[in-house]
Amino acid sequence: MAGWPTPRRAPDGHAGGMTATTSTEGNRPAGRTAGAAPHRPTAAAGPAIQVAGLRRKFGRVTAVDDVSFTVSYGRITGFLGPNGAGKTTTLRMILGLIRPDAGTAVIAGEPYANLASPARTVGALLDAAAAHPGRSGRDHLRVLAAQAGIPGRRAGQLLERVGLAHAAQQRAGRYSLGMRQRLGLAAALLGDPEILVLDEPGNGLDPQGIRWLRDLLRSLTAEGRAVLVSSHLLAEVAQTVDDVVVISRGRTITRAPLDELLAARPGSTLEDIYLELTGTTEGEPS
Amino acid sequence: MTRLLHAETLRLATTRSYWLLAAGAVALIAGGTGATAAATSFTAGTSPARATLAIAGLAQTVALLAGALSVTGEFRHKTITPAVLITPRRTPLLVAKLITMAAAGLAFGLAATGMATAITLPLLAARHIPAGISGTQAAAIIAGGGVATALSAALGVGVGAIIRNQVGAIVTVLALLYVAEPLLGFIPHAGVAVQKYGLGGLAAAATHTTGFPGTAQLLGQGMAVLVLAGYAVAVLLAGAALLRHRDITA
Repeated sequence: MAGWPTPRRAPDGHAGGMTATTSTEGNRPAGRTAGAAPHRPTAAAGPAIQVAGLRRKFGRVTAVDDVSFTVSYGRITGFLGPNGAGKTTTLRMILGLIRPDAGTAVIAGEPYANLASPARTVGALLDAAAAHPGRSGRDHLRVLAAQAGIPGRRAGQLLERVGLAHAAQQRAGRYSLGMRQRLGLAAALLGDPEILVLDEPGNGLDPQGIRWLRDLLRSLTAEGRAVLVSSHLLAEVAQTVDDVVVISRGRTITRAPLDELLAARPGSTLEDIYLELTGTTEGEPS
Repeated sequence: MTRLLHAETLRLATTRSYWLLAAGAVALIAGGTGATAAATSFTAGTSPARATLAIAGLAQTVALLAGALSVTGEFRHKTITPAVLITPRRTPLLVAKLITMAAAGLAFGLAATGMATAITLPLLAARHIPAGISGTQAAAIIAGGGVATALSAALGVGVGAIIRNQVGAIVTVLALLYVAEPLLGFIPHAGVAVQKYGLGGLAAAATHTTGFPGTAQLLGQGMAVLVLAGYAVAVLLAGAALLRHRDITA
């Protein structure tokens, strides 16, 4: 299956909706290297996401203790960890939804709250159910587009891109989980953002959907964008990601390129390494 | 702010529950005022028109609920997350909702009270019952209906920002309006203040209709509007502070 067509880069090197005006670099081919995209001045300036020493307690429970990692432009970073390890809390802290007790999260060079146009910089999918059940998929996107100052016709284009054009007028409450994931991805892509943050986007997708998602993420990073994706589907992660961050009990325990991780333990799969790192095999009856 | 208002208007227009709520309220007000004006024998000393049009106060209750739903619905359906991601500054988000819901409340209040007046006065006239209000007073009732309904919607937005749980917000509003205020109103001495400064008494005074009970001493129309606006401002400020401070985990 081919990735979606990539008409976003105009001949003069500008992306359609971006506001940056530097065109000195001309029409360079997009590659998997940071800074390749001339319309993304922040790409050259540093990492897409930088998380340092994040900590957050809810009452007496420490959800996130000490999480630090970096996400680079042009790469897919897999964010792994057992249930309750603090993945979702970390993602929400990066996006300014949850206030950290300590530490910093910087995205496109700024704390999320300081971004000049958040929707055009970062796209996020945190919960597939985040749509009003009585509103059609198309209206859901139109509302968000209006709020972000994006033309409403983009709703239709995105529904087509995520394979929901046939269900555009259907109420979101009637969507299957896989369809809701696609709608959530469309919402994340609304502003044509340079950074994507996706929490378990593969949940509920059928094998075709998983393949489609992988191709989508690959083509997005091929354009120089950064993707941070949490997942439990390790076999899928092993086929998709460039970098791996593993957290357990609220702490970062590994962050490395997938190649290095696999090369250091010949014969092991990502799953073997993950289970060893997170200690999940300990205490199991033998 | 233009973008936010556009988005809020679309949210309102594409959510069926508001339209169902409004349609239900219109039907009840039409039926209630029609039946009352057509069949009730009014006691001496009260204005039959004002007593009948008190039924249109349902518009304020519905607006209060709709205002609360406009915020609690975002949490219930988790749409608050994409909304706050697009607009990280949460106060303008709430202000846009407030303006949209208050404007819708104004239009709905004017329409509902106007309709109720248009039903009530001809029916009373047909029965040769003096309405007990002048043309100016009828206009004041309709205008008051618009303003009071707009303020109720604004108050509801604030309530929703404080009580994010949908069921919790609805139960609180209904318990306050239909249980707490009527019961507290019967406490000797203190009850007089509840009848006057409670939401029911304020709405009645602001719409220039009869309060509950019919003998309740009410504020003047202008003063009632001011006090109601004061409540709305206080609740909205508290709601905005909480919305800014709280984590968005929905």
